[in-house]
Formats: sequence, structure tokens, C-alpha cells
Amino acid sequence: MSSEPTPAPAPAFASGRSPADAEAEAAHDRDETEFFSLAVVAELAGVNTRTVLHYQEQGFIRPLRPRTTLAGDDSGSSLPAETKTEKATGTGTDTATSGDACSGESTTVFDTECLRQLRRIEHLRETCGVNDTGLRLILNLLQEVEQLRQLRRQARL
Amino acid sequence: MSIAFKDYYATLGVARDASADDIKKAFRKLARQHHPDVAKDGDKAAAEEKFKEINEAHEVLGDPEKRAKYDRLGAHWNEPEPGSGFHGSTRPGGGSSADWGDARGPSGFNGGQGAAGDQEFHFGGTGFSDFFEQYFSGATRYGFPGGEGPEDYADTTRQSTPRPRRGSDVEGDILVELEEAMHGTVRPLSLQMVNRRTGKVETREFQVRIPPGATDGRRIRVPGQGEPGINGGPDGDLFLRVRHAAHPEFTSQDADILHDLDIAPWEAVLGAEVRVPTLGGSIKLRIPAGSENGQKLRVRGRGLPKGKSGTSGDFYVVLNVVLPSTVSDAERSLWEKLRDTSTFRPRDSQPASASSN
Repeated sequence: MSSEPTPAPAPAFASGRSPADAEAEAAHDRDETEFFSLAVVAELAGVNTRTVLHYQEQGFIRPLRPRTTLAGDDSGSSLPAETKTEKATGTGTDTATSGDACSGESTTVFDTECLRQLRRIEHLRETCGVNDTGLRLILNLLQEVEQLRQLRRQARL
Repeated sequence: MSIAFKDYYATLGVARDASADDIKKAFRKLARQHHPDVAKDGDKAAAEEKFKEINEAHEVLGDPEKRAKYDRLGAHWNEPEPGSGFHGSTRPGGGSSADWGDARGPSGFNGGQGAAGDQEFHFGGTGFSDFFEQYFSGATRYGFPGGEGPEDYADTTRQSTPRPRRGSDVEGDILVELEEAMHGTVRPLSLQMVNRRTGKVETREFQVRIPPGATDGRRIRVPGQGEPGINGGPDGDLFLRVRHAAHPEFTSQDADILHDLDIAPWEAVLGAEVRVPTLGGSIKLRIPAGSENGQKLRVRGRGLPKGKSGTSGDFYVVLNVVLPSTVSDAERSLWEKLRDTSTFRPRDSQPASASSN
């Protein structure tokens, strides 16, 4: 998906949808597996790109590094429309990636889970007034609950 | 409009104090009997209905948390409560309100003022019945368990110049048959919620695309179908978590499909050729001689597709050696001969027993 970095989130949206929404939706319809650039994910989450990077440093979100070209895979290392998503989604919010700090905006992609997480974080922060310390605790607990629920779900069969 | 209570125990044909194992067994047996693929053509629609009911009963009774909630609900179903419409009781007699967690308030489809929490969202078309959606759906804002408190109202009212904000994301589950997960599908869905700005009940209908290979637990974002935006802000999104419906023959583990196969001891020892079902039809499988109980035989590429990569997960047959509980006289003498001839000593690796034992 082409990424024209948009500046800080635009203020009022007339009809409940922003340009980033439309772009993301087109991508979504196209390939079902969503990846966003830093700028787009920031806009969709309603925060600054700085904020996204801050959360990444804190370990609250784990973006993916796109796969380098494999034989027969035409996704290359640019923001992919076809990159396969290999992460195990059964474990909730945790994405199975290397979690190391990325080297720069151009190499990181954010997926649906990142967007979801960003929105949750913003809600906790803005509406519930939670600070970074509280966020860390809450996010860890939520992740643990998800994992436990998943284990229990698997045990039922 | 009232919702009929569903007797899940009756659906599975088990007692109210049935163990988790009883429930597993009952489910498997019934699911095999009523799976739409085995139904005769005429009964297909009825079989699908019945199968859905069995699945739903298992979703609730097979999950300790849901079962506990269901048991509490059921106990007070018939308690009269003036003006609460269909749903008999808001509070278990003598129980603490903490029991109810997210089932607060006598909310109903008739757009009553629901308490905050998942009662505010009602899904249709998720594969679960209205009854299930009412009490067990776990639809929440942002996926936070227990829903939200009044904080989010307070936030908007204390602002002097209300600024546009994105509506909350809503999360819910969608039940998907393994066959649907294999090939992908489009499902019509409806979501009913109380618009917190206007107090009106709004119902939206839309389509959800389940991609081929959607694993259990995968979240699918449906843009713009969450809560409406605030002060002209964008609408929130809907995140639907794919839930693989229990299948009588298969379980899923990420992109792999597993099938438990019962085999006779001689089949394990001597090897055998068997037919096993897969999601794409039955296949012939060779059980190698010298197989062991619990061993997994892998059939590559017969699992769920993995995104657009063109690869797929694998199909595993898990061997379960079962033994005859009764044998004929002729068989018995053969077994005795085997016992006397065999040098197989499964317990030889254990330390020699102490004196008296």
C-alpha cells in the first residue's frame, strides 16, 4: 500500500470517516490482512507518530518487520499488500515477532493488532486517565487473561 | 419481544451436574450424529439447526466460566420480577451483585436503558442464538472485560469545547465452521446498540468477510462498524474474533487440523491402511508398523491455508489405540498365546520393587 505520510491527525471529520480510514478500508477489502505505515496507524489511532514510537519503546505494541523477499514472493521489503502474516493470532494481543527496536520508520509495519492495541491504550489513557506505569500493568494483565482464556478454550475439546 | 430460554443441558442430553468429560463425550456423539454432512438431503436444514444448537450448548457448557453463569441464570429464570420484561431476574436471590459481572440491569431488546457493559451490544448472525448473544456474547468496548463504567460519559461532559473523537471500538465473537474457515466466507451480520448521544437504539447491518485460513482467535477489523463518532469524529471499528465452531471430527491449532483416530492394537503393531476424513474429503492413510499410542501422523498441506502465501498448515492424525473390552473365546486364547509368547515387558524399566510389594 502506498504511503504518503500524513501530518499530525486532522481535526474535525465531516462524515465520520477520515482519508486514512478510506485508504485503510480499500487495503482491507483488497487483501484482508492489514498492514499500516507508521503515519497511517497513527492517524487511525488518533495520535502523533511520536506517541506511537513511544508506545513501541515501552513495549506496549509490537510492530512487524516486513519479510525480505522470498522466492516467488513479490512483496519485497516495501509496505506490503501481500506479505503473509505468520503470527499466531491465537494468543491474543501478542504478536510473534522479534520485538527488537526497529531501525527507522520505513522498515516497520503495523498490523491490525497494533491498531487495536493503540486504540485501547488511548482509551485507557484519555478516558480513564491511566499513566504509563498503570498502562504497563493493565496491558500485561489483559494479555495474561487472554492467554489463559485461550488455554482454557483449547482444553474444552 | 421476549427471548426463549435455552435448555443447553437438555440439548446435550446430560444432567446438570455432568462432568466436563461427560459434556465433551455427549457433544462429540451428538455432533457426529447431526453433522449436516451426514444428514439425509431432506433433513438438511433441520440438521443444520440442530447442529447449531448442539454447538452452542457446547460453547456454553464446555466453558467453565460460561457454564457457571448459565447455571446461575437458569436457577432464577422463573423468578417473577415486575416490569423487567422477558428476563426473569436481575439478581440471584441471596447472591452478591458481584456474581453478575457483566449481566447488570434488566436490559432487553426493546431498547431499555441498559447498564454499561456488554448488554448494550446485540449481535445478530454471529452463529449464536439471541439467547446466547444476550448473556454470553462477551461483546465489549475495546475488548475490555466487564465493559466500561460511566467514566466515558463523564469525560465528554466535562469538556468545555467538545472536540471530535473517534467512537469506541466494539469487539465481539463470530462463530465460524471449519469448512468456512478453510474456504473463506462472507457473513451478514447485524449489530444493535444504544447510541449514547441520542439514547436511541440503532441497528446496522453489514457484511463481514472471513478470509480463507482464518485461524481461531484471529481478529478481523470491520472498519466503521463500531460506535458512532463523537462530535463529528470518525466511527469506531468493529473487531470480530473468529471462533472455530467445535467439529465432531476435527480440532484446529493455528493453521493445522487434527483428527483423533481410534485404532486396534494390531493396527498399531502391524501397520494398516485406513480411511480418514479430512475437510476436503476422505483420504487413505498408511499407519506404519510399530506405531505408538498418541503418535501423530502428518499429512502435509491439508490444513488451513496460510494467508496469501499459497502454503497451508498440515493435517495431523492422532493415533488412539483402543482395546476390546470383551473378547470371544477364540480371541481370548489368541491373546493368551500372545501373552505367553511375547517378550514385551513394558514395566522392565521401572526399579525393582522393594521387599514386600
